[in-house]
Amino acid sequence: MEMKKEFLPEIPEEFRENLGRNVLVTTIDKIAGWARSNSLWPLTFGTSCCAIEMMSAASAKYDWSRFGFEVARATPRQADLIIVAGTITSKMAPVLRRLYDQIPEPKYVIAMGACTITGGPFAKDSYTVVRGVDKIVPVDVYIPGCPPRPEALLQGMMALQQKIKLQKAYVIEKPKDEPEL
Amino acid sequence: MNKEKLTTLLSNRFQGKDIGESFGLPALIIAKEELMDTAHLLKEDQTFGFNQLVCETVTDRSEYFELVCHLRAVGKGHEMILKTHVEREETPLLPSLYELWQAAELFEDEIYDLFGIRFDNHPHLRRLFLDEEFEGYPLRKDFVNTLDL
Repeated sequence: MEMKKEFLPEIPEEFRENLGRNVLVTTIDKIAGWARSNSLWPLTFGTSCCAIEMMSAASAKYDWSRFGFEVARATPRQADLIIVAGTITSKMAPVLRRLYDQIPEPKYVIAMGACTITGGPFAKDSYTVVRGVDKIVPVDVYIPGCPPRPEALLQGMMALQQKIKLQKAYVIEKPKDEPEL
Repeated sequence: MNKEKLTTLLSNRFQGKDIGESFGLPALIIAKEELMDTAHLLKEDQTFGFNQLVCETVTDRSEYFELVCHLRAVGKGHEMILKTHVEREETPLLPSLYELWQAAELFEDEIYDLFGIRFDNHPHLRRLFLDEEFEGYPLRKDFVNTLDL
């Protein structure tokens, strides 16, 4: 396609050589996804044995900082991600929902372990345990296991990164099964 | 004081009462009307001197509830179990051990929460683990779980 000369910007002769290797063209969606997925700050939230595996994944041996899960924040206002690690009882459910609501958008949820997916060993007959954390908050990634190994947690978190990279920058996409409250 | 000596002392003091053995400890079973007097005696008598309530819980024996208290004398080095029975009804009433051992507060909260036994003279009886709105007492044998959480 031919372009008229007057629409091309005037580039001084000395910059023209550097132009080819110093200018990057991308889309907002792509760069936002790249930035968001590589700096996910999880909320420090663990309710039982899965939290021990989560701590192991955070510490030196597995070191989730390698993949950008840099700092676990103690406040939901600074977090992007909540890893629900452990059994949620009906008394804990409103607390979890409040923490989720306090996280600024964009926010993501990982359900870690059998208890958070179906209620796990308590699914059949329990008077307190919530059967699946997706009844309280929308879940992006489910990680099965009782508890999952740190490798499984890391794989789940990297699956979340892949998901974020495909999302649009200005559209908040929630999982389809968002609970009715 | 060793176990045999304590058992002898207890059977001398509480003549005609049922003194058995449970988990290697002497177990004294008394009527619930005598619970407070016996507890006062076990704490304040210098030969016994049970100054710590280690555990207080309830067993559902289907026909009745059994209150189980583990007592320990710190310094003297002996332990015993104090048991009493309460009839099975909607909300049975027992005297609170709080005035003797303050540790009883949370134990009795838990018993009220899970077995529905109320305690007289308890400072603040409330549900410990479950919601205040929870219906029923889940550790009773006849509890039927109808919740779909």
